[in-house]
Amino acid sequence: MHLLTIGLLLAVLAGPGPLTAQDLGRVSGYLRDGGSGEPLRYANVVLEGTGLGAASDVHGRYLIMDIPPGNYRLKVMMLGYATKVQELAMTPGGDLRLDLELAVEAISTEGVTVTAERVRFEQVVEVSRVNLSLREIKATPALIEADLFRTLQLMPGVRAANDFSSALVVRGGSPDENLILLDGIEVYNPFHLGGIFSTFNTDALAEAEFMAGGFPGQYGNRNSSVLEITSKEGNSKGGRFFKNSQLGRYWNLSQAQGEISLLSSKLLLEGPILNGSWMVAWRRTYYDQLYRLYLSTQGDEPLGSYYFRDLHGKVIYNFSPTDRLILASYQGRDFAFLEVEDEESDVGVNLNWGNTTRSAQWRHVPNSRFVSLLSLANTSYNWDLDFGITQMDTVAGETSTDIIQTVELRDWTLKERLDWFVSANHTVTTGFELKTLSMGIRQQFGDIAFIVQDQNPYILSAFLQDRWKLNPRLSVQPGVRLSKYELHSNLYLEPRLGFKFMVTDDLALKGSWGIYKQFLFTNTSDDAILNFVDFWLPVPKAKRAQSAQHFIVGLEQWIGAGFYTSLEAYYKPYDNILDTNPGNDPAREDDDFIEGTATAYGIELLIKKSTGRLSGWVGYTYARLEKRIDFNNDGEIVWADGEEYSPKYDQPHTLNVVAAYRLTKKNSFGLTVSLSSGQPYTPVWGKTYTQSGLGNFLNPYASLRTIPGRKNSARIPTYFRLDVSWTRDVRWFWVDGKFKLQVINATNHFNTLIYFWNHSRSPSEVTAVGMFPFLPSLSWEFQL
Amino acid sequence: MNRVLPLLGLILLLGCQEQLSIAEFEDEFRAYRIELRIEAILDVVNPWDSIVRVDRSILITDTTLFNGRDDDGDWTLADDVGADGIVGVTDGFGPPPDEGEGNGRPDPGEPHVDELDEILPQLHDSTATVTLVDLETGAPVVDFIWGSQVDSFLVAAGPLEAGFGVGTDEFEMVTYGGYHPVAIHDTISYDKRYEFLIITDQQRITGPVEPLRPPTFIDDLENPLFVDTVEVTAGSGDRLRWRTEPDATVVWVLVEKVVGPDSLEYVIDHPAGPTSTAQDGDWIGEDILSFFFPGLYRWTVTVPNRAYGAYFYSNLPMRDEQLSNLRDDDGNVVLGIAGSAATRVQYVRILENPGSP
Repeated sequence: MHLLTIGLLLAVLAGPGPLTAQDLGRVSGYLRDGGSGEPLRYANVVLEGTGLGAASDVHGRYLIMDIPPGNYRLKVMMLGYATKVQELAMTPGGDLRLDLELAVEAISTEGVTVTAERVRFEQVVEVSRVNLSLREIKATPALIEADLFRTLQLMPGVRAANDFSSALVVRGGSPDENLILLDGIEVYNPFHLGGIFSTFNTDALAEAEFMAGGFPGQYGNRNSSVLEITSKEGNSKGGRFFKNSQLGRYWNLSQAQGEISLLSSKLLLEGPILNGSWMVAWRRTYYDQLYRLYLSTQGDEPLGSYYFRDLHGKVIYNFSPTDRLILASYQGRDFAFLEVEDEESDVGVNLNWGNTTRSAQWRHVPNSRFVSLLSLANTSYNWDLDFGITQMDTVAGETSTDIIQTVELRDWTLKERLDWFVSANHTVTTGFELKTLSMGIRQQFGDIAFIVQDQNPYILSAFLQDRWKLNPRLSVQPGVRLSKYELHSNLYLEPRLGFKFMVTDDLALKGSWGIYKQFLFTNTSDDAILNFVDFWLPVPKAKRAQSAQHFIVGLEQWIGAGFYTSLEAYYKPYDNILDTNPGNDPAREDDDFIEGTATAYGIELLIKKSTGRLSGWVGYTYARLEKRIDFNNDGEIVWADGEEYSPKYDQPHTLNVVAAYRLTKKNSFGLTVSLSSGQPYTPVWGKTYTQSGLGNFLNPYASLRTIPGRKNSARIPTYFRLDVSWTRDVRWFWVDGKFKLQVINATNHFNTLIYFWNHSRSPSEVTAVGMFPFLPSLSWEFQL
Repeated sequence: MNRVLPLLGLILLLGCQEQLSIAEFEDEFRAYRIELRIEAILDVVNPWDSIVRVDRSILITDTTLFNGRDDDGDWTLADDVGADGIVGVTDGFGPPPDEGEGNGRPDPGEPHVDELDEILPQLHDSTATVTLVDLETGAPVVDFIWGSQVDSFLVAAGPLEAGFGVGTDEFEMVTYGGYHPVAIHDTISYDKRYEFLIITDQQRITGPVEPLRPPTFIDDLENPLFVDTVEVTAGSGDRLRWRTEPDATVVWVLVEKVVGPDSLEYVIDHPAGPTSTAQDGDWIGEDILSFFFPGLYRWTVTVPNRAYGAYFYSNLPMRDEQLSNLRDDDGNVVLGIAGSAATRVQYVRILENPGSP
């Protein structure tokens, strides 16, 4: 708190800069790909011979301040693009707008960004951050299809619960502690098929920025990490149709791109509109249709089916050089049904679940000093179950019973973010966020409806942060977030502070501290293997907000263009984490959850190379996690009672190697090696007879059950997986594309998921169920 | 065959299994010693129906109990269905014949092999002295005595049929041993606290009991029902409601259909929580009667006391300081629970709906 106060005070006293500030000018603008019109993110922009420069942001915007009057050569550099040089004349106090387009270099075959991080390395306070480009995501071998979350799970500090889960476990935090933002809009349950695949179609993505901790005040309501996903804007160049028609000014199609894999078909369409661009990405699994077709040839009907689809669209309209309207929509849904019938009964189960987001954003840049982004978004997640049974009875005739369950989370968010570029050394970011939530669980038995839960809290937050360069070597970023959660009477203050100190030109010392609060959580057990639905719940009125502190310190070494190494240590104590109360009294509504504490700490090493024929990274993580939950509610944490334990996510050692190698112009290879400590589990001590499940007074010996040892006091064997891929540029059916062969778990190493004990044998028998075995897959990606 | 293809993916994953030797886990269970698991239940309405079950746990390394033999001689060739207990098929609508199927001799996993009536006598501990005492005065209230056949239950006993209609028509009555009242010295009072005292040659185990009153069946105005049989029309949305004390947590409901004089047919049983609160703070529970076909039914609603209810609702945890109330003299948790149960019965006749097709 004291650090924050001092930081803010100094920020005010520092003022806008030297006295001659009125004579100094500014140049700003947008950098774009000359071929597609997509923003060029993190490109280097310098004024030759001055030492002045900047990096473009995620929208391709750059700003260089404090430029003395005179003539300059503005040089824009980005790997994969031809360097662009533009003459400019700066008048006293001038404010130039210079939008530039760069041409893709002939040797480059990727139309996407290769991050140029040098300027950011020198100027920006960023702790625990990694950026992943579409190229990196696609180069990483994956289960059937490239998957953003699967790639992130290979980063230090991030891991998967198991092979079947794409949920992110970040520095010991459970998956509900991650803020997932798609173009700034929150997505609550971004998974398909019980978590095996993430919900984002990678073809529609441009960039992913991931912060594993220490994130600034503009982000809130999560305790672990932030993933900001930026989707493509759409190719606004070179419409293919209506070349001699007026219609071509209003709408056109520039590019079509698709992929056919063993999992799904994907299609991405993009093109220009009047003063803007559009993009639509569609994906659908088709196994169900192939299966239905096959059965129809046999005169049969399927008993069950499953598929998912997603549709992502975006339209950008530039009213003027200073105003842009962005309309976006995303919908991803999973569908499953099962029908079993015989002469006497017909049982049907229909399930569908998924996310929908809709947003409108107005980006206003009145002058080079201010950028405003006003957003109105609606995001929802719902899960519908319809269970129906029809029975024939000799007395009653045909009777039907329907059981319907609906789980819904609806979120309306209004937020404003304002960046104020006070001087070359100060960037102040402020804003607010108003989130109104509707969280309901409803059940219907026949004609009788029950509302199991219906809560509509709001969360109002405001934030202020300052990126402040104290001197050429030291930058700090103080900030604060203030939140009002409707169910609690108090205000929550979350101070944040980050710093970066350039020890040498190529070595930076960085650190961060912050307090984080979370008002929503899921009641998902840590031990769940496959999780079809997460029930999001507001923190109850009688419980405090879940809280974490981040203490992070690290070193970052710049080795060369696109090549750096980072070493970070973190300590993350948690307070008020909520867990299911095993002694929950069904007659009481206020004892469903109990509070506890946890401590996560670790060291992470990352060596990352983004350029050259060989690219990729090596990541090593040492991480520990301990939880302390007073399960029996006696006011004491007793180790022997399993109240202080290592959760499933406590895996001390993890080593990941990700490499992509371009052998020839047409052939490239990918390789991923993952090695990690096994997860904790509760050992089996003995067995005994009990009643069944929730108890049954009729048969007290219905179940032969395990007598467990101390909670999570044993550990499954070490996890190892080698994945490989081969990609070849091909031209099939007069269409350019890529053929990809991928093999998951190429060594077919047996990685234990869970143990099953059969106690009805003497002695008991034990079976280990494994994760992914050797799994090859093929895909063909094409571009029109 | 075609219809089971969607399961192939799942089977592929489930196929990634390895049978392991329990020797790999020896470090985990080596120190474990056999202990007792006890369920001591006082029947508040009919104290003579109270029961105390005292059983030994089983070691992982035990090599005697599940011996794969038909020890009581009731296995027949109809049970020769192999280790999975399911009649194997070759048409794709179920698992194929498995190991041991059709070999003409009993094998582990087959019906009537290692069944409960062979196992339970070896697990019962009959050496204890069991008493229910008044916690205030220490005076004995109920004396218990061991009996080798104090209660029974029905279990499915025959081979399972393959395919989606898995089931069996064969049921078998299993009797088991336990401690039952032999002398009752005092009436059970709802205002008193009691304690089960179980003394074995190695342990002295106690478990407190605070009895709860049985449920009261009520009408829509929350007045007690005074009719032997409630009559409702099928599909009318009527409910059977009952009231329990504020200290009650869950109830256990058993529904049986009256199919003849003194003849009942099991329909369903389920745990249930309260659905609303009465004006005086009691809980109200209910069953929706439109789920049942026309006929005469018997509803048996049992209210466990608070401790037993919490244990029951928490899925019968193994060793939980809060949820298990049995302790030895050193204060160690003993597996199981001491509690009370109070039962009341209501008959319901569901009439045909003249408007239904």
